Amino acid sequence: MFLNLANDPVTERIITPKAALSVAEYLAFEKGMDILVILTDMTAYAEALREISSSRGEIPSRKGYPGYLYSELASLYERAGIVNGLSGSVTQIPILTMPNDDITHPVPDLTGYITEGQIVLDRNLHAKNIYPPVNILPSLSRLMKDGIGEGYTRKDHPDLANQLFSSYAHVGDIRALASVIGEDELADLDKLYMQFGQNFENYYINQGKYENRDILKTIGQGWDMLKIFPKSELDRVNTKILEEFYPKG
Amino acid sequence: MIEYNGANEINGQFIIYEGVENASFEEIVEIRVNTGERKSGQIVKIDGDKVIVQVFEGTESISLTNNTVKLSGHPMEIGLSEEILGRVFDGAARPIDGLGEIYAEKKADINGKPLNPVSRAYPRNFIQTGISAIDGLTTLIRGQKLPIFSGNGLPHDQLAAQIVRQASLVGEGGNFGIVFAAMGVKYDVAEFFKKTFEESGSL
Amino acid sequence: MAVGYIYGINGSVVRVKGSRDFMMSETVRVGNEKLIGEVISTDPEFTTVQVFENTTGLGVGEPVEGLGKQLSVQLGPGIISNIFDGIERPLKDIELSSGHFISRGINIEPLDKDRLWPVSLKVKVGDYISGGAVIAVTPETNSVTHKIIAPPKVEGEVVFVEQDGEYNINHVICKLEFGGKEIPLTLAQEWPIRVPRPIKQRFPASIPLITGQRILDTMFPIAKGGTAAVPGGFGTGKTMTQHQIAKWSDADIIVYIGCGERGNEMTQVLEEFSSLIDPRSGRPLLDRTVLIANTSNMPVAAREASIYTGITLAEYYRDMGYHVAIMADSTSRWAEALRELSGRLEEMPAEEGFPAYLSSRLAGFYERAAYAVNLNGTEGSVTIIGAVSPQGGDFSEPVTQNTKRFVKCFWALDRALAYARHFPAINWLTSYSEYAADLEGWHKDNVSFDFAKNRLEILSILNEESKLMEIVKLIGADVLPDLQRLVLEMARVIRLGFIQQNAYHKNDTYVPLVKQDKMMDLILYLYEKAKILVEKGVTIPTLLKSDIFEKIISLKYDVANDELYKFDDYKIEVDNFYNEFYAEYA
Repeated sequence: MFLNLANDPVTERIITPKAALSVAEYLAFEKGMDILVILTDMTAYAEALREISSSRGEIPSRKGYPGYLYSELASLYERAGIVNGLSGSVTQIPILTMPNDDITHPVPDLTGYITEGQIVLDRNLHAKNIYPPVNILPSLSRLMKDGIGEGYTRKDHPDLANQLFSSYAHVGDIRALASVIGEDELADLDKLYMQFGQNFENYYINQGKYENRDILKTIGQGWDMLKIFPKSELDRVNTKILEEFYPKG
Repeated sequence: MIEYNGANEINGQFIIYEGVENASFEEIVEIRVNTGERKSGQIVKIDGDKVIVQVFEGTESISLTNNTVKLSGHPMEIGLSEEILGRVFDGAARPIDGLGEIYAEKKADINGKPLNPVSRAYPRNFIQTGISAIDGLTTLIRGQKLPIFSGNGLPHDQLAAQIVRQASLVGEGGNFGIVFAAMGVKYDVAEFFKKTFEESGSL
Repeated sequence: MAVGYIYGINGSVVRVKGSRDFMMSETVRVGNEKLIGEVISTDPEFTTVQVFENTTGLGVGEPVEGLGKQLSVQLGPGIISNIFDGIERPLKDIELSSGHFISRGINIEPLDKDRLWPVSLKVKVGDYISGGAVIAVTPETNSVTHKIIAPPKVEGEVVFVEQDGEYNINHVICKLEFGGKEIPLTLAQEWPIRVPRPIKQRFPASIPLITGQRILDTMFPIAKGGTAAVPGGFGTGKTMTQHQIAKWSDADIIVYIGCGERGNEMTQVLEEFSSLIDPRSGRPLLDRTVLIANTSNMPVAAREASIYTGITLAEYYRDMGYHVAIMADSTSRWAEALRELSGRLEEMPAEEGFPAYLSSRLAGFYERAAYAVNLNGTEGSVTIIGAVSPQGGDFSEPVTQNTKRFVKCFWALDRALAYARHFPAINWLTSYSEYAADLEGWHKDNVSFDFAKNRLEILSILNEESKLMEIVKLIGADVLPDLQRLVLEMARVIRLGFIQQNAYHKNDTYVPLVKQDKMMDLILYLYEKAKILVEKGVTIPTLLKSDIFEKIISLKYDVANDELYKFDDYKIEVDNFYNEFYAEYA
């Protein structure tokens, strides 16, 4: 554990992640361990860089952050990975707080360009008492496609995930429409989407802080959400997969 | 090692020294204040015999005359050994758990070196976190960098803690370890994670 | 050669004193570790050098030595299927010499100097040749024949020719005599990266670069020798788009520049391209690909150079008469490298801290794309496809705006489409291609007479949809007149069945133009028939009882690229649908 607290020196803050990652690389690539690195809060780190940069009188780019913020962040994030022929690994979960919940702010923005995806938490879901309040639409794991499916998780996983994304994206449109014309005026199919949206948030996303669902349970839960729809609505799922996995009865 | 007396200018976290010879870029220096205090810093710019030093512990109590600076001859390094597991350090990698210094098996430049793209292995192993939103839809892969974008007051710490408690590589035993770095977080957040790691035995 | 010593250091920028002999753009060796650098300005007092490696630990007073030549690349056999850093150092050899992590001051020749190439000579004693002439050929990979060409500025009478045989790149295979001087030519030559290689003449674009991606080839086509920008926020699929083009486009050679991007992406390209088979040659894609990897954690100055290294390699193969496509991912990182260096030089910034010369540098880069008649009379082209990573996904930022001025194709990636997992997430309303009109003739001659007309019709349905959606958002689709609801339905068919393309499906990842055209044709045929039905009073809910719409949507998966005869069956099905519904409801 490396702790630079809120009242510790700002200049030390820019050392902290580098020291931690040096340790992680050592344990992973020389001692063969699988290291999970949690870095928090990357926004405070970037602010430290900004403070130092501005006191050196450097020319700022966006929102006063130095032009080299991208390179600095990249030099940290790129220290995740696996090396050919070595058994260890460095996996990183950096945490950052988006000022004003703004995903276009330089820190989340530049981070998103470097990292292999992002898990985005959402204030509205949090207000609905959903934990973890993950908004799946802007969330993404770039490496997912090569690590799931047959031989990794289960063969229906990729199609199922695509369908959940696509159906849930449609829920957003229907909710917008419902807020204009009223829920009662919705077509029957649209009402199903409203129901699906609610179920999905309450039973799929939502779970206990100590609840550990294995992957088969997660996949099963996904199908339970989708069975509200007729098969013809599930246009992202391959017909064969649909026949095999669409819940019967 | 040569020592130089007195600073030329102090501005924020920076001190400018003149008449310094043989400085190297990003070299670590030690500043001794005549109150007995010692601070460390790093050379961030060199112009002939003028160097700009960024002071890590803040420039409070330093005057133009009351200090000497000594060059270390090397960039910022960290001592590494397996003893590091389970220990707690401050932001500049000094032990703060009262268990004494680390016996270093080797030293490494904290900046690391860029991993050669041809040496990388493409990550493919699924890490199960036991959280549906992640495992099902934003799957975490061993060797990935996957950030949590959050906002003030949202439960990102709880989520990270749950990942730490539950993460497992399917099919393999895995020799898991956690490295945690806190930058500018509140005391109670640090305590929360410390407790989490103690509970799960992963500190 | 000039020799000086280090006076000041600020990040990757080093100030040197002690010599007035450094030339602009000269390659230098900096410090005791002999780091590679380039002179970027010089005045009587100081010479300023940008260093392509990490400067930590570099000390004042250490020597700086000029090499007497501009920053150059070595050109010769051994480039294809290799992977280099931003200044053409071979990363595989670096791994052998310094391990998994890249050390500094490595001095390795770009091309393997020991490897023997089977060379057949193409000139004889007494020939008079000039720059560009093909002296010899050697099979570089199973897909690419490397032509050893005379360097551009050379001419003379051939006075010596080596016999056919196996030689390394430094072996003299031919000697010329010019003005009483003898000029030895080897398999390799050098060229400064910041200077475009000369050509005889430029041609306007008139042949498409076919990518097998429907939204590109049909909707927003690019010409060989053309330029395109792919702007998009993170997660919208810039890299994916570049990968797809690199895999499937009908270029002879691909130069893939990973400029300031993720290391794992380069790993992925290496892995995938060694196993994926090029449909045209039947050989692995890597046999026609060269990779330049200057990932985001590698030094910033080399990132700036990587773009020029890549385009110089591309021009070299163009000179042999090849069609080369460059993927530059991402030009924004290159622009940021310019900004960072400019800041260290304490130059006056223009917009958002970018230097005032950003726009002229971008122009200079994109202008090196061309469809050309080479010095040796062959035709070749360099096509540039540059990814742009706008900050905050905001297209009004300086790099996107300046790029837009110099490219003729704009493939705008859209976050909303990506969130809904509509891929490729290229927005059909904000994207454009100025080549569409230039290529009309080619499409007419080589695909079908109606190609251009079909394309416009498809686009107009999509435009109509977006107008109607404004209304639908307010009052729902039910209240629209049936003809307009039919437009919505057909737009859905187009979006799901035509524009969406699945890079992971074997029948859909690459689609030849003929199939693209037949798909358009079929969709429009269905529209025509359905329109008559609606005009005859058949309601939309009734129409939708037919499964013909879903069938046409999944046609992209059901009809393989070599089963185009099946389109006739589909047409019959549309006819059947029409006749059946006409009889029953109209």
